[in-house]
Amino acid sequence: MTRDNLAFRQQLVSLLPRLRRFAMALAGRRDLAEDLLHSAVERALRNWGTFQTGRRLDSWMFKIMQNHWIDTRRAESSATMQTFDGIDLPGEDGREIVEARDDVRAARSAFAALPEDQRTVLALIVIEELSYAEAADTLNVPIGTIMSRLSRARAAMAALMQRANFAQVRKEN
Amino acid sequence: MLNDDLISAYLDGELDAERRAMVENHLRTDSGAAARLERLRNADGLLRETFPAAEQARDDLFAAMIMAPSPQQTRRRWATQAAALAAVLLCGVLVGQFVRFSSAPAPYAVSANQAHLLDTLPSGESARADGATFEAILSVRSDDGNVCRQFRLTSGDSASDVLACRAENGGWRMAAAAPAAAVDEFIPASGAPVIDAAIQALGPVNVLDAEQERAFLSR
Repeated sequence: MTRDNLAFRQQLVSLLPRLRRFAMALAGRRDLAEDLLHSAVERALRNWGTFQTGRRLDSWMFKIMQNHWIDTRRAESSATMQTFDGIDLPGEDGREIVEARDDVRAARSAFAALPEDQRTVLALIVIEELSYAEAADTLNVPIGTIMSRLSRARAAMAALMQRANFAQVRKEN
Repeated sequence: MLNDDLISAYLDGELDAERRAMVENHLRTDSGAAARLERLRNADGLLRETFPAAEQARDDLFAAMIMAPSPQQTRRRWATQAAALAAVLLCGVLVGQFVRFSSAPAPYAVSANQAHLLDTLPSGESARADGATFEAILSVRSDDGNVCRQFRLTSGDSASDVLACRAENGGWRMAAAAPAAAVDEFIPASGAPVIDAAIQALGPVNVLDAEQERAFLSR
């Protein structure tokens, strides 16, 4: 194992929580997300020689995951439905608890209702805090596409959440 | 009227100075646009809360998979064993755990060929064993008389530093292993901290000089 390789591997390990989060945002289901993460890590280890030092490893990994996810979806037609049920939040005592706050739950179902391309761009920019240029590179689309996709996604999120709020208010009254 | 593209790019800090000033101007006078910005910002915040990046127990399994050398480097059985141990030790180091070999039996055996070289090959010399280059590095004796030897296994561009200790039955067991830096690299031994820690765990030791080692090897 060369020193570069070792550094690469260690950095990859430190990214795991974020990679899992991105996998979850793409796949929407815990089991699919774990499979996706596993395959992406395997692919990264096979191809680490093509990773250019100086590039961001997170964005390189997101690209691998995104490509792999598209391949998987293509292979399985589009039979899989996202559920977003299994997003667990860590509790203070270290156990995982399911977040029960209404607004967070509303955000989760709003996100789940979005088309995949909008979810992906939200995950990369809002959650993972990539720049537009990095997201454009990750998804292989022009920056203009990122901008419009993102603003549509945000508008849809806000609208869906507002609807959920109204429903909540009606229920309480 | 501000469109959503501009508000969105403003939120992300992706506007140039001129357009940012334009948006900020607009926000000061247009309460509708300001409310819109707040709603989008609020949705962003909730979305981040929905997806926390939490470390999880199963990360350890992934970490072990990542730190283990790739399959083409582990054709040899010894390499698989050394690599597995190296991965375990490295992960242990990563999470800040200290490996005390003396308190637990070593899970990996040294091969018969390696054991033979440990019994016969002076430090500083190399030989082939099990398809790899075996290079004896040094021998130490602990205060209670146990002898341990450090050696390096090199196969292709992959190298591991290993510490093996002689058991009471005369056999050798592996006490620690870690990947070594490639030969052409400047820093000679990245596995050294792991091996050093294992040697320290032996308690006070003497490094055998050539004569002492010769006496041990010809016992």
